[in-house]
Parts: sequence; C-alpha cells; structure tokens
Amino acid sequence: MNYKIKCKLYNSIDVFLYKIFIYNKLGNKIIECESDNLGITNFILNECGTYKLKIIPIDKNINKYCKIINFDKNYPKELTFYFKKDCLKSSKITITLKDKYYNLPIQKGNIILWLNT
Amino acid sequence: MAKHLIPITNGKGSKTLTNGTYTVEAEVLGYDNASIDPTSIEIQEGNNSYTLQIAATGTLTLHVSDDGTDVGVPIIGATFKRCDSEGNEYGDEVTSDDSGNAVFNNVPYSETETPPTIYIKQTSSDGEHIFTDTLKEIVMNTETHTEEIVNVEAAEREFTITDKNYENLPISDGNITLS
Repeated sequence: MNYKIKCKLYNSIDVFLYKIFIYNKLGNKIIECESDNLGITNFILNECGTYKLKIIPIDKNINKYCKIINFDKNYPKELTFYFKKDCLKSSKITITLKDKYYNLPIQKGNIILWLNT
Repeated sequence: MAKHLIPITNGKGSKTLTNGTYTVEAEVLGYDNASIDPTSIEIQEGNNSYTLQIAATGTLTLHVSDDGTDVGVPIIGATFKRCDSEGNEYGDEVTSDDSGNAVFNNVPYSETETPPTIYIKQTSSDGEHIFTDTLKEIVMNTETHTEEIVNVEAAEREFTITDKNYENLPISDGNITLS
C-alpha cells in the first residue's frame, strides 16, 4: 500500500524538510527516507499493521515527532502532520558579558536579543 | 521581531529562549553600547552558554608621586591592575612612566549618571617607596580623569658589613646589592 506523508508548520503554508523512519512492531527499522523539496514523502508498506513513525526535521528548531500508527485498510493513504510553532525548542541560556580589553565581568546592564524572523 | 531583555549582574544573565538567530543590543552604563561583540548570535540546540564583549572609551591616569600631588616627585615603575569588587585581578599590568603616570585606556565613564565603580590595585612600587595594595575605588564622571596616588619614601636603613674572620673589622670599601 502506498502512503504519502506531508509535514507543515501549523497555520503556515511553509513546508519543511525531514527524514522519516518507520519501525515495525518488533522495533526493526523497515523504511528510512527523506522528504522532497515540497516536504512530502512517499513510502510503501507491504502489509497492514502497527508501525512506529518517527519524523526528524532537518531544521533543528523543530522538535522530533513520534507516533504509533495502525496502518490498516481504512487508514488514509495521504497524511499531513502539522507542527505547531510552540514546538520550537527552547532552552535556558546564560549570557556572559565581559569587558573587551580587561576580560572583567560587567557589573550591571542589560542585553537585548531580537529574534530575527 | 520579538524582543528579549536579559538583565546582567556581575557578568552573567540567563533567559529561556527558543533556538534561532538573534540581533544583539547592549544597555550598559559607562560603556560604548555600539561596541557589543558579536552583534548577532545563533542560539543552537545543545549550546546554552554565550559570551559577549563590550568596550568603554574613558582614560584613567594614575599619577604616582612621593607626596600624592601633581608636583610631587614622580614614581617610575609602579604597577597597577584592574580588579573586580572582590579584588580579583583582570587585564594587563600597567606601569607608571617617567612622569609617574600609569594610564588605563578603555575604562567606563558617564557624564550624566553614576557609572560603574572602577577598582584598581597597586601591585608594586619602585622599591624605594611604600605602596598599599588595598583596593582603590574610582568613579569616572568625565572621559579623562587623573587620580593622584601617593607612594611615600621608605625609611632609610643602615647596613654594617664586617670581615667574617676578623671580628668587628669594618669593610673599608664595597657595595651590597639587595634584590
């Protein structure tokens, strides 16, 4: 059976590139493929059943995605997964601000970061 | 563009941010905020520490003399270092020249608000004058500033040298070198 997977950012027409891995219920990887420039992958499953789908975006700002899917006869042949903006990864960063010529820690001040969109 | 303000205290500040490319601005009193380096950072997965540098443009001159005035005998070769408030030393040592001036370039100042305190420690004198290594606090309200430093003359010491094998026989001529 042929399946088609699309991945898009939620509320956006933007597509993104990713790799897709499909594991059978024994945990063996049976399919590994990369999306085309439109963010679409096509793959063939020889038989129905429960598979684990793992999507790893090429853009590291977007979280990995895993889902257990029962690909049976009723399952849609074309699937679109939406990745919400809020699944952009965030982490606590520490800024160290020093005097350029003395390597001295700056006593007090502010750093302002503007996220480029 | 989304704006994220990170307060800095004693050289550090933290914030939770998404990965991405950010334009950097600085608000540091006493410093040239346009000198922030780098002006753009890419926050990436797995890297949560980023170091930025900023520079100031003030000039602080320490004039070292035997009486702490601008007409005193200049002390040549006295050395100083910049410190933090705890006395930890930073940057290169600065040495007083033939005029007794030790010049620190690129120090913070502000003519309108109270700028950050500059901490200076004297680390040596010329060997003939007494110095104190206690932290000196200086606030620069002008781009250039001269601070008078006193290193008073050390007490005169007397040395007696006698012949080791002939008790109390003074050595008639010679030199002793102390280092």
